[in-house]
Amino acid sequence: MLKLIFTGIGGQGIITAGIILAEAAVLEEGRFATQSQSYGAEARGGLTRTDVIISDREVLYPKIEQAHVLAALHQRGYTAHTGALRPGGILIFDEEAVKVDDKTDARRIPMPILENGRGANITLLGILCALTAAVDPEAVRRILHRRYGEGSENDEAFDRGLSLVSERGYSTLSVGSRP
Amino acid sequence: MKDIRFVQGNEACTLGALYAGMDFFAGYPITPSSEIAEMLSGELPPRGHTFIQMEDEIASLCAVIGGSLTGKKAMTATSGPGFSLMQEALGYAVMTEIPCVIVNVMRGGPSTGLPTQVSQGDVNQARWGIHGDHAIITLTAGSHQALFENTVRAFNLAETFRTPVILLYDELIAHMRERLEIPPEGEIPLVERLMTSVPRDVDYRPYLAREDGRLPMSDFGGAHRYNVTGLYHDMWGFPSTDPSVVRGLLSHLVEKIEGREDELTFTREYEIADAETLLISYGSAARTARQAVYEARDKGVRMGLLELETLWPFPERKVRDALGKANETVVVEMNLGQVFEQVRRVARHPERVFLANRIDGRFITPPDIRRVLRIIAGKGVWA
Repeated sequence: MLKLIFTGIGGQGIITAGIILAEAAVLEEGRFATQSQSYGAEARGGLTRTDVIISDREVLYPKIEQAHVLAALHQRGYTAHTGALRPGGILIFDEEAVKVDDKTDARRIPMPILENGRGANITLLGILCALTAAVDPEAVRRILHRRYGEGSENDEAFDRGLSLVSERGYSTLSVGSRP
Repeated sequence: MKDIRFVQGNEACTLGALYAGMDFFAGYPITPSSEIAEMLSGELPPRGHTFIQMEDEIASLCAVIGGSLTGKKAMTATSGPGFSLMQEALGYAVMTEIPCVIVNVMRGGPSTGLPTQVSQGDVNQARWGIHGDHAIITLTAGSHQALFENTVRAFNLAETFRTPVILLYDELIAHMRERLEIPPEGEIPLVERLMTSVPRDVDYRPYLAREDGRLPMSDFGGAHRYNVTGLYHDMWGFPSTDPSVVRGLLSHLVEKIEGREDELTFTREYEIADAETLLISYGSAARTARQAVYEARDKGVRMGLLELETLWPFPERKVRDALGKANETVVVEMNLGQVFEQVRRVARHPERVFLANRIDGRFITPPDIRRVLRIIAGKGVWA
């Protein structure tokens, strides 16, 4: 079972990224997943968070108290939700937008995510796939093609995320727990 | 090939309604039900069916009643504030025996309350929101698969019993996404409108029941002229204050539902056979309860869950049977104890029934249940 939280501010595509990842697990890999989101009153610019749980068994309780992975694209999201990352968990964050404090007990993965502009959320998915093997990258790619067609700028953004992991010298980390 | 989707609960409900043959929707969008209206505004018109965004919820249910009378499978969807406005028309639909489905996606109340957060506070409103003695069918669901199936079931029961059916679920189910497998066409049988065999220009009595209690209908504005009124009425539909007519109609309205627990009450059982501690829950709270059951079983604790999918009529016999086997029972819900009170009412030992609840707009957690169990066991809780 793998529990991931993505957080940022409205408009960054955080929720969409969570849906695509969970959809790839369910529709392409035949596994179980839930995606839920905290849902504020703001339409744009508010704090956003999505919880994704991927498992080989039916997921009953869909909220996350102790995430294996936290991805933060905004300082406010990091500050609000870093407490939901389990000690020693993986913290992926935008290296320009988010300053991580020294007390955070996590494997820190600073990445140039937001420089990918509108594709930043999809770059994040590429990073996640290469770093955690949460979902097969080809499964995510098929979902991207189904949603946006082949050859869209999202393909490029996704590849950029995949290659960033090896460029920065990271190898695939083992994450998740038995259900 | 299987038709697997990854959807929100509101989409699962919508897909279930379309599967059931719903061809008339009138509604007024409100969080957390809006996705139903949004999706149907795209799905119904291309099929030649009717989608109307009404001026408010009062008009919405009135339009649904009219649509149903002319032969449509009709539905509306709302949340607590809109459901409050619908009570007058809901009573009318009960009295006039109009098949229709009313979806209430619960948010925190009273009033506009907590639009985007989870609650199960409308259980008693579904039962007693309208005035006067009556009976009502209310279904709920704790997963997208169950929600799809119970949406189809809601239409089937509405047609079978000529009654409005309330589909009551909560914000967590509405907005969460998970796997849904759409069954092939025909796999879930559909109940279609029972039409009268009385020919045109022959005296049709819309409120004359057949031997099996069902009332054949005639599309309003079609072959027959007849009256429909919220007043007590005779078999022609005309107002009457004759005591035998009044008593006969009210007992018919109540008995066609209350007398059929076996046909109308649906439950799911998990690990119940040897359970010493029984949880009773429904809707999204049942997911937490089931999680707590599996976590307890991993530690060798004999716990089980009775999940209710019919809330009204209350599944008295099934609840009483399950209670009989357990030492103690904990009702898990997100309100001040609306189903808890029902369970206590039917329990032989109400002092052994407890409540684990949450009323702060947050989703109930397995530790919320474990804290109550520790108190029952006399172990206290750590502050």
